[in-house]
Amino acid sequence: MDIEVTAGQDLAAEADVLFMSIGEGAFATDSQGHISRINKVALDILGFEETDLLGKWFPEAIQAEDETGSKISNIDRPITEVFITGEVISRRAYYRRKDGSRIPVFLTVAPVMVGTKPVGAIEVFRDITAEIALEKAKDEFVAIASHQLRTPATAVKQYVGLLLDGYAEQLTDKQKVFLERAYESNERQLHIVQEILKISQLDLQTVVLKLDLHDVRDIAKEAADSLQSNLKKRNQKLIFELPRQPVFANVDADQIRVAIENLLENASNYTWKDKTITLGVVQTKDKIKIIVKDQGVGIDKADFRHLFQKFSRVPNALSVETGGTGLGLYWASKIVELHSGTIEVKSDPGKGSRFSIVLPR
Amino acid sequence: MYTAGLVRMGAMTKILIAEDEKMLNEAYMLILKKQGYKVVSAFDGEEAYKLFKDDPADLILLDLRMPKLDGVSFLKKLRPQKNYPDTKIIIFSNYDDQKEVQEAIDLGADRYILKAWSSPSELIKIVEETLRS
Repeated sequence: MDIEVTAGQDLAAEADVLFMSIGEGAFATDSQGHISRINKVALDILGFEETDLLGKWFPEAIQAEDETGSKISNIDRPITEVFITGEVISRRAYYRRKDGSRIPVFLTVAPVMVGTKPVGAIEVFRDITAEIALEKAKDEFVAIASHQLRTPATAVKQYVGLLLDGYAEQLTDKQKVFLERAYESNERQLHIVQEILKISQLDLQTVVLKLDLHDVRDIAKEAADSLQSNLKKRNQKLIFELPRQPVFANVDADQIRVAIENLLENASNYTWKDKTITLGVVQTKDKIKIIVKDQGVGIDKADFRHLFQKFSRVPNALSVETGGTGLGLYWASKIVELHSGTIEVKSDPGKGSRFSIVLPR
Repeated sequence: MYTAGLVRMGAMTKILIAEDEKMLNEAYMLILKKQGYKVVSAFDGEEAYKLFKDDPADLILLDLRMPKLDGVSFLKKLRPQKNYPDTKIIIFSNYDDQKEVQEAIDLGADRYILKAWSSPSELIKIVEETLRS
């Protein structure tokens, strides 16, 4: 948002009226981060009087927290970032109201530019309590519906299994083939339900990490084991690039293994047959990187932002053949996020991609 | 041919199935009986508790979500660690709620299996392994 500052008093008064009339919470700061204007909606949401906030330094006046209740440091506050980058930023946060209660907000901050210089910032925010409640209700519904689907599917598995294992009577070859297809399809259904359930547990934040000190090289090797049949089917080779010394990290080994498995599975599925996948672990002073490199179809930069979205599948030459639910990368990113880590992506369309799980040491 | 149940000094190994889902209860019964185990089954937690108190089993296949008395409450009432240390207990549930499973393990269950991942032959394997452990 670029605002042209002029000397005309009428124009300034009009801008003031416009600002105060914004239907969402809004406040502006000067170049030092002191609150210079705040509208009534913002005061109502936060429970403050105008005199409580005007002229105050914004991080002290309006305290922000993340999802876990930790205070967001001044340097990580969007207004600070906007001053540094000059770009518009939107995100979720939690604000403390005057009475001490916590309120979830969605905020957008834009710099006020004079030429190329930011002379202030404007933040617009809204209370998203109702949206979050709706999301929670949706996640709970998904969890319940998936559980309900799992029971009958489990019974199908048992009874088709009984037929295949000869509990009824001897099957003809054709009957066996048909039943094997039914069994396989049922297995696929159970796996999809399992994935959706795991995601809903992550979204509902009912996953509790079992943190312990583990050698990340071992976790990587275990993850690779589970991929063997996939690699064999596609005649692909997996190369390890692991350091000689142990790489210890305080992680939930099962969860990190699943995150690596998801990256490896994607690497295999989106790489042509007879090619190579590389799985590496690198340790730096303050980080541990688990790197999955493929010689696959690659990803266009424009598709990067969709990669980690739920149910998102980026179209490419192998996506139809591959199938999939579009949950693997979302899951991996959530797990890594719970470990205070990130996933970095580099890709060269047509040549391959590199996904790195970056964990703090 | 099916002799897995004939262990432990000649006596038949007894298994109690506590599973409220009729189709699954019947399938597990069929599979385990064919293996030569003596099998009794209950469709809710209270019935399972009564059956076990009347004649304790060597192994319990215990569902967690059941009417009348759920799996965790069943374990709290039975106190297997103190009262029946030789009885093996497999939590057999389709609700992989970590807290609930951990509570069941703390109360004396030996292991947890997600029902959806166990085919008839896998069920036999799990039961045999648990009895041997």
